[in-house]
Amino acid sequence: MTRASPKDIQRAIDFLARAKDFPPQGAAPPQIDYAHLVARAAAQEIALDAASIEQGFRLMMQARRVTS
Amino acid sequence: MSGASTQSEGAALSPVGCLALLWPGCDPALVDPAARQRIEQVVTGFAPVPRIALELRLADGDRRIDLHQRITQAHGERALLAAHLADASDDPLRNFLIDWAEDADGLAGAIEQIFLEWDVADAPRKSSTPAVFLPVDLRRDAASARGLRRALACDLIDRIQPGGTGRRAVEALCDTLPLGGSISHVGAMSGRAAGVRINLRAIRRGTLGAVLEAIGWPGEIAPAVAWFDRLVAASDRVTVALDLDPALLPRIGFEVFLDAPPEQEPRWALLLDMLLDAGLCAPDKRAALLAVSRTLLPEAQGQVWPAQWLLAAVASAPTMLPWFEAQLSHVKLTLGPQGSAQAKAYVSAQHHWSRKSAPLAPAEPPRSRGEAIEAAVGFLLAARRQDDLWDDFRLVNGSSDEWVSAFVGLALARLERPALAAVLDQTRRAIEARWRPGSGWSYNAVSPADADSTAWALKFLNAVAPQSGCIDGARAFLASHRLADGGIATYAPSTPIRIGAVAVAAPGWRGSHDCVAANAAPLLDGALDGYLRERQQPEGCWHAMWWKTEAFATALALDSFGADAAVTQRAIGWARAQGLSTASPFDRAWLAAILMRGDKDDCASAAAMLDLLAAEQRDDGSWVAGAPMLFPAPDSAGRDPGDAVLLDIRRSFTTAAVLTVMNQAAQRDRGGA
Repeated sequence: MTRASPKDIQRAIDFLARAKDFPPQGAAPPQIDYAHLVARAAAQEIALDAASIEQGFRLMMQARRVTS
Repeated sequence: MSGASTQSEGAALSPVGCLALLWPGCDPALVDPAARQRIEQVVTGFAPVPRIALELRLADGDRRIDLHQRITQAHGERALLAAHLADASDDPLRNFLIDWAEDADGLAGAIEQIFLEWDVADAPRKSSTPAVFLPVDLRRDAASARGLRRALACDLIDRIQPGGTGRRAVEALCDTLPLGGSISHVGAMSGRAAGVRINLRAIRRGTLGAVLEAIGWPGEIAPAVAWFDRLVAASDRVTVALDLDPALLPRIGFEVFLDAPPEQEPRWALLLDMLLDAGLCAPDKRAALLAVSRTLLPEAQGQVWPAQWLLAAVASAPTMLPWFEAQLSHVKLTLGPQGSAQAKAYVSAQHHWSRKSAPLAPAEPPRSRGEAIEAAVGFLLAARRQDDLWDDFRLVNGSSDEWVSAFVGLALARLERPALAAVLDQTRRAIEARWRPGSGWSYNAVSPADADSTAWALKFLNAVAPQSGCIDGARAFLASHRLADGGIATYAPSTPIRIGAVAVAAPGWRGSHDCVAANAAPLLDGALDGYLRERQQPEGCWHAMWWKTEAFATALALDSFGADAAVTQRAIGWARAQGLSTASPFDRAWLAAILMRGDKDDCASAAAMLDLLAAEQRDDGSWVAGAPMLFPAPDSAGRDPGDAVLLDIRRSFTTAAVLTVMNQAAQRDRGGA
């Protein structure tokens, strides 16, 4: 997987942090599919790739585990 | 780890995500690519609750797979189920599920969780009807409290299978079930108007034949009993599944559970070997099952996470930690008419939300010491396995049952209660059956015999069966561990030691260990007294090899030989100096045991410590796990202060320790010690 730049990762974290604003998903979308996240970001005129989203999410969860 | 957050309530997580994370660790021998596609299709129609299991046939060439889903009260799952079923076609099961999901008539309060089961061959359509399994008796309820829950279960069977045939079959079985028999679940089978299944738990080894005769089971009892007893001896617990349609069918199932995954529990391999040797399990499936368990964290390097789950995790409270677990849950052996047999395995795949567990709350109101002793006895009796042994701790070679059973059994034996005689006699027979002739006892059945376990078993047998035929041979084995320095080793030079599959020399485990000497001394006619006297540390304690702290070894040493006043006073001085605020219940109990030997003020301190322990006891009669076992490097002559502690995860060891000391105090108070 492509390694994202720190700037891209930060952009992904900001994007994911607003995820709760997204409409709820149905019960049966593809399960490991970052493409639709990329598409959602693009719809908000945010240029992100799947690697940035993956790494941004990992950093968010790492931070949670450290502080919880 | 446990707990839910309000912000994660109602998060719809598709169970297809479970499959996406399960497949990479699941060998095609278990689920081939075509089956995966079919299963994904079926699971897409499940309620958005990410907790499923695959039911896999183990015979060579049998590719049939059934699917299960468990719905609990957590994370808004009932609401998710209700929404999922809102548009489903009207049928009795769907209506029952909606009533449970919406808590009509208090149903949700009475039924903690439900299990749904689909035969995949029947289930590609979204509208197909699963079988449903409901919990009945609670694990630790009294026999007298079971009537109401059983009546409710019968009512529910009636709702799911209108007509009353299934209900009457369950009622008839309840009427004939011997007192003490516990029904874990009742299942209403799909596709059959009257098919019901009853799962019985906690049937003890050697008693299944009497149960089957009492209920009039029409199958061949002798082979069923033989299999059951073997499986009980090879596992943590076995549930017995009986089918009624409407009368009892001559088929019986044994669901066999081991609590730890195969990498921590060597008995999984032995259990599957048993099925393989009986021609019931293909070798490639055996190997695949042993490799299927895993825990995945979304933040792990390279770990992709289902996109839908990712969004739910981001939206959840910052205290919530998502993770995924695939597990070999249990295996099942089914015996049918004419000697037919079939084995299955159940592989679960589930998403968890977790956060740090809340501290375990003590019982309310706080208990007196007398009440705490009664509650501890109750806890230990309930914790005993179906094979009459206790188990606790967990190492690379599994949990300990021989050593732990001797320790717990001795704690109960020292109460000198006639009411416990039958229980202790059962455990005595189980311990004797584990004796290796010409040798001794061990940590567990897959580990080699050692001096410490043998000493505990000898103490237990001396207390309950001093004429036991094992005693002389085991004492000789224990004595053979004496070393030239006057001490005693845990393992003899000739004992083969393996860690996992690897043989190790383990010179450190064959050296003198003061905690073992403290334990073994009373059994060796004073041979270790001089050694122990010399080994008392200047500050007054004895050092342990297998424990992080010294209180247990020191209390044992004082009990073990005729310590003079100076030796005893040094130990008491050491105990007085120990900080109690951070000590575990296990250590505080042994410190109290030491202080009980002191002057009036020391005795008052000990009494106060035991009163506080009584007030800290949990509602179920246990104390928080606190026995700090170590697993030192095999080549290390001593423990390393940095070694990780392995606690008694089932709390039986700590509970037996506190019980032992409270009983000692009670005996002293009565002037008997």
